[in-house]
Amino acid sequence: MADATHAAAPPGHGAHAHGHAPNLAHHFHDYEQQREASFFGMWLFVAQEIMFFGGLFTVYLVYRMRNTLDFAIASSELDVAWGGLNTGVLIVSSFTMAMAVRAAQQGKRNPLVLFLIVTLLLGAVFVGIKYIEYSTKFEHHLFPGFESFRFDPPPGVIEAYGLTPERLEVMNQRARIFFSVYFAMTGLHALHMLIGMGLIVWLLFPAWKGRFNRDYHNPIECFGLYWHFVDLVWIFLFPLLYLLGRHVHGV
Amino acid sequence: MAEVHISPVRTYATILGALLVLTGVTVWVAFYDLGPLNDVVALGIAVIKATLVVLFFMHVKYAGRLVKLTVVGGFFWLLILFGLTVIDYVTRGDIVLDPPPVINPIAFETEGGA
Amino acid sequence: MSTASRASSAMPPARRPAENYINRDWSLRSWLLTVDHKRIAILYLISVTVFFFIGGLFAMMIRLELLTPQGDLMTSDTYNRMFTQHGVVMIFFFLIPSIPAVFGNFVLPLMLGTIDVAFPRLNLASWYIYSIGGLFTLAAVLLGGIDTGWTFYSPLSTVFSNSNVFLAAIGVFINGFSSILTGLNFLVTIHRMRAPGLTWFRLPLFVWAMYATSLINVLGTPVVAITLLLVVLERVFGLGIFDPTLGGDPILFQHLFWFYSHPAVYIMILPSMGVISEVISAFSRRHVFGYRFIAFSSLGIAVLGFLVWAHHMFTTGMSVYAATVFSSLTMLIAVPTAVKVVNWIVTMYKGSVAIETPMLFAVGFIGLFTIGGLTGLMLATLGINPHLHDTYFVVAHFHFVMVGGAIMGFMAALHYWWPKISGHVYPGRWSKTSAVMIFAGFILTFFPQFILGYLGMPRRYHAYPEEFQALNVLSTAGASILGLGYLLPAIYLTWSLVDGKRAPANPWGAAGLEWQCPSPPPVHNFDHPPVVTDVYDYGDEHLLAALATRAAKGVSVG
Repeated sequence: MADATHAAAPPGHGAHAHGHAPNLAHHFHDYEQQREASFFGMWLFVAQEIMFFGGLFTVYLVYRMRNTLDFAIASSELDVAWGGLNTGVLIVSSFTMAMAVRAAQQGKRNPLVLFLIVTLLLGAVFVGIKYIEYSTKFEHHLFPGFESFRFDPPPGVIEAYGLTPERLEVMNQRARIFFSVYFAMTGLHALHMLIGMGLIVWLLFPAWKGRFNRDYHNPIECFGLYWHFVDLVWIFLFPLLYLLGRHVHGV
Repeated sequence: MAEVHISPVRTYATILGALLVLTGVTVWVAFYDLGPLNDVVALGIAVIKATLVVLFFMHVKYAGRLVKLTVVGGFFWLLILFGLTVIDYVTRGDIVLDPPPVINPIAFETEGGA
Repeated sequence: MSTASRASSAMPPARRPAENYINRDWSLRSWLLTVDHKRIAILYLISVTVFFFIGGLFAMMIRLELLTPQGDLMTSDTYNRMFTQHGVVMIFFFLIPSIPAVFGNFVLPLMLGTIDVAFPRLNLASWYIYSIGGLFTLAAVLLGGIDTGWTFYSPLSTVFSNSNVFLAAIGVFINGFSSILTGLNFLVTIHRMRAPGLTWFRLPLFVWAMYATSLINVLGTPVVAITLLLVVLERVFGLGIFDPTLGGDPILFQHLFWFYSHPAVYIMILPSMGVISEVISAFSRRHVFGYRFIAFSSLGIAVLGFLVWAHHMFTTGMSVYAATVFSSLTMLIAVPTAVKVVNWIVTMYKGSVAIETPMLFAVGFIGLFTIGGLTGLMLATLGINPHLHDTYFVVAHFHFVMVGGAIMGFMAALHYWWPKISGHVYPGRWSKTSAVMIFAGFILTFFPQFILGYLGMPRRYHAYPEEFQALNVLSTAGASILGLGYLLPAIYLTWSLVDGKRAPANPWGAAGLEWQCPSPPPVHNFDHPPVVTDVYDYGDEHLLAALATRAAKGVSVG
């Protein structure tokens, strides 16, 4: 019962404390423990982000199930070219971010800074395209927040599906839900992109000072997880929002 | 995760290529009306893309058991949220599914199709 | 080895205390910028106590109004604000953080034999986030209040309510991230920072309880966060996601809301259960019976807790078939819960039970929580639910588990670890008196409410039929006693800081690593590396040693 083990000296005590272990927090034994803790901790944060966006995906799921046709027709208003381009932009930015982490792991300052900046620029492109898309929507009275919201499918669609005026009123209402979901989901996603871009700027400073190496590159690695997660969300958002209505007849 | 695993550039480039190709595929397939299969294909491709990002860009392939469990757990919990919410909606008996779309052949032919 | 040295109360406490985490630096700046988990725990203790008494004020208003059948003390509109704010403050700003943020923060690293949590600066950030969320919510209250019920049901909250829903929702939203980050911190700490030799099944059951709670915090809270964000978007932009006139479904709001808010009740109860395991074991001087069963039951409750949320929604018009599923799953949770209760009782059997204050609260917990839990099963029954939903039966049920359960656990923790945290002992007679007052006051307040609910008195109404008055008067009388019972610890614990005797390292003669460091602990927790043994090692030699030192002390510790 009493098989006691004398614990090793708690971290922070003894000869290996601060001083000659740069970037090692005092409550960790060694770099490995610190890195494992950060990586696991960041994944837990990503897990809660999954649940955070998950609530919105649930809203989408429920309303899509109940209003399949209306969602499809409303979705055909979205511009798949911009959406597709944005998907490509994010995927490339994930690549450059992975390359940035790689550079940090190797302690190579210049490639790290370069890849961070390219990632930042790609993020800016994404946000810029979203700005264009949103502006178009506002102009076409497709933002549910405005009293002037009105969704009318193109005449070809009305004819193709034999939509009566009463049905069109219902469709207007259901399309309003589609666009509410669209703006909520892409808006939250864009907000995460902006936060990510801010974080890149913040990370550029220690990166430029050459602070990251094989032993300590946790902030870059953890940020990489965040950035890839934001890409993951878009990987699902794009087909679910944009590609629904590609085969709607009469468009 | 005792050692820091540094992936070769080739790995990242391959994944990048695969992701872009899959994106092209999913857009292309979307223009065809496959009925319920559209959703299956779109989600299936999205899941494959997500898996590639998680395993390689996010280094989960080289991570320990704990992280892998965390990833699986996170997505599993999402499925709980979806699944148990949806069982209410599918069994309410009040979903009026739209009748299958009546495609007006005349409009179609005159305007040269979708 | 560790037998006689375990109960160190044989040593007379030093006159001038050694340097510890409190006296190291008295400046305000050192407190507000601390990254020491023990100081952060104190910051939380102060905050949650303030919110507890604010929530208590609203409770007092409710009970005063309900003294008479007529709505004569305040308008129904004001009454709506009273019960809403009572709920919001008590749940989000007291119960949810209470044990994890105060005792989890203080004791967890000690129990793990380490010097801090995994992310100390994140820990401090969690407290600031909590405080900012609290300020937003207090602003909502002071600027006119909120009247939607703590449940923020749509479309009242999204469309019709003229109260400060926006501010309150933002406040709760922000506060959610405090819970998430604390949960994240604890999970990483438990996984990655245990002292060498401290394997999973050597961990105290409080650690298992904190682990399970943290899982819920990380996985559940984000969903209520996004739900409240949607409420805000709907109020501000008129999006119409939950508005039936715009094609939305208000039940969807409830699904999303309860997906978190049901597991939230397990966030509130699991830490208390962890405390009870510690206290019952220490004051029965027995190894916890069925350690692994209790450990796994914590995880089981956390997981099962996510599968039952729609039992709050049986009368909404949701699918009856789905309701059957949720009802059955709810019954299942009784199993791991009962496992715990049985194991605690068996732990006490043939133990050497000491009637100290923490033990009084723990035993009170077992009785009151069992009643609360059993009435939960009644509510989960589909045939009974439509008659009892939204009546005082529900109010009584959740107060039995949250106050008779969770808060008793908090009080037990407070009285158990106070000597360690403050370095002082409190007067035993006063503390036992307050425990008895709280127990008696609680029963007088809430047991009549079971009867009222059964007889049909609805909740959230400020007026009621004449025939219910007698029971309501009893309930209000009980509430006065209960309130007084809660005031007492605020007084004598504060008093103990200035005038109480100094506490030795191990005033209770308890097992556990947290008792191997001085009271209060030094900044780095352990002067000497802690000895890792079986954490509930109460073999006979310890019993004898503890009994001997108790007799030698002569003065009751509490």
